[in-house]
Amino acid sequence: MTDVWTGPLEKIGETKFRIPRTYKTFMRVDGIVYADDALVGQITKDKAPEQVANVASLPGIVGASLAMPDIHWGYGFCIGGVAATDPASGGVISPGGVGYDINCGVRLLRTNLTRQEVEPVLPVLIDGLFRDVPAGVGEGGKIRFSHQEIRQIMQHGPRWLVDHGYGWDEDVSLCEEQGRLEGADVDAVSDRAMQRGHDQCGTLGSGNHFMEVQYVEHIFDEKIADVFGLHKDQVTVLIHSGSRGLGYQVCEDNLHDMRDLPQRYGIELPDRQLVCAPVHSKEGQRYLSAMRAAANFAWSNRHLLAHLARQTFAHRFGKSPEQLGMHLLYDVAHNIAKMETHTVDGRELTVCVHRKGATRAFPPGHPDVPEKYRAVGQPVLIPGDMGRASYVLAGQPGAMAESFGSTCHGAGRQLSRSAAIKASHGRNIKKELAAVGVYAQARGRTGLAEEQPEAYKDVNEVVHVVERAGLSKRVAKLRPMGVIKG
Amino acid sequence: MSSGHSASLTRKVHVMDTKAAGYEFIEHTADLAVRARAADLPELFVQATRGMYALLGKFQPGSQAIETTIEVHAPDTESLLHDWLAELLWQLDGQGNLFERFHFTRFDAQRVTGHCYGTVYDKAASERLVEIKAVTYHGLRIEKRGDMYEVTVVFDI
Repeated sequence: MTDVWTGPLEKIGETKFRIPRTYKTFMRVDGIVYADDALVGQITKDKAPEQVANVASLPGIVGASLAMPDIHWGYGFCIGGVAATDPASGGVISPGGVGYDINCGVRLLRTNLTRQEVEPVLPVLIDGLFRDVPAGVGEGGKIRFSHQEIRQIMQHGPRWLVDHGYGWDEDVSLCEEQGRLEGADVDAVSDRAMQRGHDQCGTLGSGNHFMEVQYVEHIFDEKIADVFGLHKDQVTVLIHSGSRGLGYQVCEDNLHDMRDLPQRYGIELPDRQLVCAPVHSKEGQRYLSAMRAAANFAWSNRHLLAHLARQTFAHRFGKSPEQLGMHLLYDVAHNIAKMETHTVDGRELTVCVHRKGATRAFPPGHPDVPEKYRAVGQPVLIPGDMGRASYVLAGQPGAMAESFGSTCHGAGRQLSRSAAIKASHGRNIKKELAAVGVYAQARGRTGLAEEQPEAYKDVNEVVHVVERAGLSKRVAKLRPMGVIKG
Repeated sequence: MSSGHSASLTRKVHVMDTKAAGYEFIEHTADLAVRARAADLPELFVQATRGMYALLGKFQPGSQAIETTIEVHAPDTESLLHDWLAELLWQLDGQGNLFERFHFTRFDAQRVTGHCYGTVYDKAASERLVEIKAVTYHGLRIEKRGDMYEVTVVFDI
């Protein structure tokens, strides 16, 4: 890694470091990085903390420019960044604060199968998923939709798919926002975005996206696990994907259209990738409308991927998905911007919360948590790397008090893709994974190398920090058994 | 001005010497980056395009010949290059259009018009290696080093 960061990082608690607003004249608020002594050394290995400081320059930012312990270098915003802006005080929306993969997120299916039942057929099951679930660069979906149908999907999300025979009714209520952001305007999505993504609903894509079969290795909180329907040795299916080419193009289009705006609105930015527009401006509203449509597309994408996984399991085990208990546990977005109500300096404000590689983590009692989970807090799904573990957490009151209802989103990269490929030379990653009990199938030649466990920080440490910080609580640890990748 | 090349595009890494036009892949903390070098700006655009193609995959030209005119206008040359590459990325991902030869009829500080000649690539014979989400603006700066122009383009993958 290059460009070690040497700016000020003041320890202000066991799991909190501050970049004081005096660090740069453009900073309007402090930067806060959640980390412990062990992780902070890794965090300063790149310029991500500088990006936390840069985000603090956004007009209307309130509270602090926040970074979760899985922070790593991104474009404009760091990955793992959270920023809330107040539209009433000139607050802006920045497409870079959402990222190119709008509503990249995670979905977790439960089953009533045990690890012992699945292990003997694991290679056949994973090969079946690899065959049935479209993955890889530019791969089109098995289920094709007309442009008109894609417009419906962008407007209504998974609800439309359920009404047309894909998935279960209960799936809709168990998505963040019920899989549909209000205020989507399909006409704000360009023809190009449609063309790039119209055949990609129900496809995993490439990069760090995957579908994983796992088992519950450890339960941290029996009471919450019981409410989430999780128990030891139970098999689960984790799906990580986003809005595919459609979302990338929506971001690209809006970054382009906003290029001249900072000058026009008199906004000075330390990085042109932070380009933004006031939330209440025509351009800001246009981006938000298109982003919401792309977000609804992403929820639909994961909904269809889950549908395909259910079919493969049903075929392999000779039982219906219902008999196999393949209920949706939850679906979370980790690249998104939303209007939410938060208390800032004792005042209740409606703010625009950017979560770029961060997950909503609403606490027990919050009205936006589905009724069946409301007493224990919103499920938070944290995918780790292929060799270690993923986690199910529950939102905690600390998130509302400190981080605009947000927590971490994953392990966080520590090696660049090219460094990871270099580090894998002369090794067989597939065999190495098999040696730790993970059967992997990947479409691309470099996919496994780029995503090898060493490319990531230790997710165990990351979730331990957010728990100690009071943002979310560990409920269950999921161990990978098999994975398919693009 | 024209920059005509007809060699098929492969992912072979062209390690540049400092005097010749070309491109290379470089290590980058985030994702993948291409450094391009050329004696003039139109050729720099072409080399950056070739680098982007080589990053995306190993392509074989198809049988259907295509030509199109790409016009971009932007406040500065870096933004022109960004828009040019973003346009060609969309042409490839949205349409399957792979261009091998470029002829610029206009190339000034805020506007570039390029005629592009190629084929709809042969999907069966080609291998896609990575999906580029976008051409980023990160650190995008065209610099003159000696007689040569040089730029590093970072792609989000």
